[in-house]
Amino acid sequence: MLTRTPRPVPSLKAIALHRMAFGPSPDDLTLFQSLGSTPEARLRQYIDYQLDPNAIPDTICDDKLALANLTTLNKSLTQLWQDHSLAADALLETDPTQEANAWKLRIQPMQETEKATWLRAVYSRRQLLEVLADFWHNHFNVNGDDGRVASVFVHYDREVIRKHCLGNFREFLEAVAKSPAMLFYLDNGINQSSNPNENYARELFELHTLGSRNYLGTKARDQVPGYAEGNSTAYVDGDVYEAARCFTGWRVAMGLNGGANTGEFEYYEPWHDRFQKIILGRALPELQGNLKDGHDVLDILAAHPGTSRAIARKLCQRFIGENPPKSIVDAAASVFLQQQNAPDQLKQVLRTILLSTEFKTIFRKKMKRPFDAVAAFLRATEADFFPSDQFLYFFYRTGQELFRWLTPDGYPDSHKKWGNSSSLLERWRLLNLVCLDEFPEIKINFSPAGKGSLLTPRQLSSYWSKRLLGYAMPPASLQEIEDILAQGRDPLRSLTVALKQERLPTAVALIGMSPDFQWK
Amino acid sequence: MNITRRRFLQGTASTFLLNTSFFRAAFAAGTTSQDILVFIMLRGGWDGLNVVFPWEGSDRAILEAERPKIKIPVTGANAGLRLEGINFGLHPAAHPFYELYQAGKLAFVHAVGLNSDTRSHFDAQFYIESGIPNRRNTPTGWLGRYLASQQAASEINAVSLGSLTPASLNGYANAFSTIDPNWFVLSGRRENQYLQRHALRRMYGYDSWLDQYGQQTLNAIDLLEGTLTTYTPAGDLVYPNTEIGRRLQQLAQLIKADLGLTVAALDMGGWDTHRFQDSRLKGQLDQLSQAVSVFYRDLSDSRVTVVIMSEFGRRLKENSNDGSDHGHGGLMIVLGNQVNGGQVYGQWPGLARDNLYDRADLAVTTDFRLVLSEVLIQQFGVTDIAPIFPDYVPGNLLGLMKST
Repeated sequence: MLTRTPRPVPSLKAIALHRMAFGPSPDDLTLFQSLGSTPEARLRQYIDYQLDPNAIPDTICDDKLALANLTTLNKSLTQLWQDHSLAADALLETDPTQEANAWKLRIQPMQETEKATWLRAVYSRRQLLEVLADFWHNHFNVNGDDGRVASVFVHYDREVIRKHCLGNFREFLEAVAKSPAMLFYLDNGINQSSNPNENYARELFELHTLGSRNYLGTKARDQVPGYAEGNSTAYVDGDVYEAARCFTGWRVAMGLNGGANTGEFEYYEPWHDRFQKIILGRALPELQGNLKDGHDVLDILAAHPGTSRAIARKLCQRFIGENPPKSIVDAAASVFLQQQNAPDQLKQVLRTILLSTEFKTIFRKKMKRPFDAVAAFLRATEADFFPSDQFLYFFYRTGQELFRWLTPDGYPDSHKKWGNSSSLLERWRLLNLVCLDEFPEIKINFSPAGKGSLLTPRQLSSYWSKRLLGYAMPPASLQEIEDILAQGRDPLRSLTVALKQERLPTAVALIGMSPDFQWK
Repeated sequence: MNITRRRFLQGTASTFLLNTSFFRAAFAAGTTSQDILVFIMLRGGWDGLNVVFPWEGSDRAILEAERPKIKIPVTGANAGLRLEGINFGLHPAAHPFYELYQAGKLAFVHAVGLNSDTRSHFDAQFYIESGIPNRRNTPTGWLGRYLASQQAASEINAVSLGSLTPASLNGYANAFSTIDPNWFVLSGRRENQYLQRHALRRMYGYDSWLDQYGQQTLNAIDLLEGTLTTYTPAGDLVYPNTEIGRRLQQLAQLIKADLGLTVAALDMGGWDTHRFQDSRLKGQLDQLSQAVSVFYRDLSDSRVTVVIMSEFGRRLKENSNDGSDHGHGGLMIVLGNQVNGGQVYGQWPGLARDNLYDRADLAVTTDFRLVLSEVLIQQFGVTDIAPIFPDYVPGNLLGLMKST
């Protein structure tokens, strides 16, 4: 094995577009260049620009979404509940042979969100928002294969995840806690004082906030440092059970006990355990009434330094690389904690990460997951793209079918999990199928306007690799692209139109398969 | 609500099957003389206390008191299957396991597990698969360390069936992962595939972690090229059309293709039965036991040993949602011709409160590493367990493996 000579990190433009976006597109590359007179200035501008997604016009993406006719995307929660959950129930009841159609109706919101997410990842100019939506969907994972979750998935995506990506974490936690998707998925919807269910409370501590690094197992609560001061530094099982009691009565309005049947959040006092509780050493008095217990748990967790470190580490892992340096994790955690009451807390944390030296100087400490790689490829090739069922089937084979991860920890974000032959082969194969025109709804223009004069293997390999990577491909890899186009002949000699048509798709796919393209 | 989803398989997939011209010579159905270890990780914490459970006496009385709704009855239409001569019964949905148990091929180990007080699925699974409890940063897995401790292999000798690398094989270079070994190709015209593969071989010809993954992928493509034909299980056997069924069929096919595989890892999710345990556990056990039983019979002359385990068991007292919560001590299965089956091994601590872990769960009286060590020592020729399970010294072996 040859040793990789350490290479400098690519340009700030390339780093930004591979990590703040799903990958560079020709438009992005042009836009970035126009944002200032130095790379540093352009990066700062680009960061500001992307941190304010609502100010970014997104007509191409909007048009693509409109064409896709995804009618559930604008429905309110009550409409989703009515049109998909209740309607599917009713259909099944009137005609049990309609099981397949009832199921289709029930999951339509989730499937449309999946398609919309693909279209946005490829076409939206609000790329940072898309990357963040992906991050938070994994952090607050719910399983789209669960029919109940699928019916309300549009609400979860729009009103819970996307709305809070750049907002306040405490508010985010509450939106998640009260969402029908999470109430169904982690069973808090049936959590009642006579029948407590700890599932949500456990994952709230272990996955959503403090994390298992701050977990001391079955230790007694009063053995945890800080307990006596009402400020435990870590959590134990006892805290989980106590928190479960705090969330009793938080449920979905589905016509229980004669109540409304709207699919919205409902607090049902008779189910609530109203006696005193202790969470991480802090005593919550009895009879607080009306959601206060649950709010207190969320307050305590959102303000806990352990949470700030856990979230900061995950964000740094996503935006910088695996095992991010302590320096940037600490800096991000510090902002998280200081800005805990700010409506734009998470935006500020992101800004800290994106403006850091670590962000600018670390590259290749991470590999693209299948979604990253395929979306990046479609963006860079400016593919005319629609996520057909056939495409989604081949993407499912890569192992990262959107919104179908079973357990609350979400898809892993480490090369230790994704760096295997199945993951690589299936994504490599998918790129080949895209390039070889095997999906009727996906087309790459290999002779883009104004580039018709590119005809030699040298020109073509240079142009396409630069376009896909956003930076110059290292010579050894670039040689391979040139060779596969030249196939033994002079690389400076023009290919015939026929040969170009025959060879270029394979060569461009090969760029997408290269190690250079897998790195972030 | 047990709504299953349908998987939509494209007819067009078959148009991309390469018309390979080279096929391995026909392999003998059902025979391989290679020692092979198959490790099935059940994710979610399967309820060992409802799979193999006390049948009568004081433990039974406690079980019935603590699990009025979810216990497996000993009488009636849904009664469990009494394991002869001992005070245990088996969940009726696992009757294929019962048959294998009766035939002396399958052993249970009870009250076995991880000596850690974590009730986190993810931590517990990691501690088990990495083989070093209570440590978060172990870069390798126990199976990978076992393989590395044997003579250095230059060829692929391990496989995982699935899209994500299981932690048990972390860091091991001579493994490959697949969800479909019959179609492990780049697609497109064959000449172009070859050109791409050769180019990729050079592009990934360096020593970073990413290069290693690329090499593994290319090695797997090479390994599988032209080796697999349409698979027919032995006899009249039909694998169930479930994910575990399909994966075990693929594994049987890979084993019979004599590729030099000695280790396989797979997993099966869905065992976290906080709710609706009766129907869900039944469904899960149906799927698992049927698939594993067909797999064993498909390879009935072989030296394949299957080990099945989960990250922890479940609490003795049922919860109020017709389910059970995270527990501690659990159940393992070891199955194969090299196994002294037909017994329940381990030291059953009983269900009296003083003998429970944290006064709530079945205790762990046998470290899971003892079972894994015994398999490795007795069948796989391991003489020194230390590189595989550092800081662990196996106690007396349980006797569940025949000494070779």
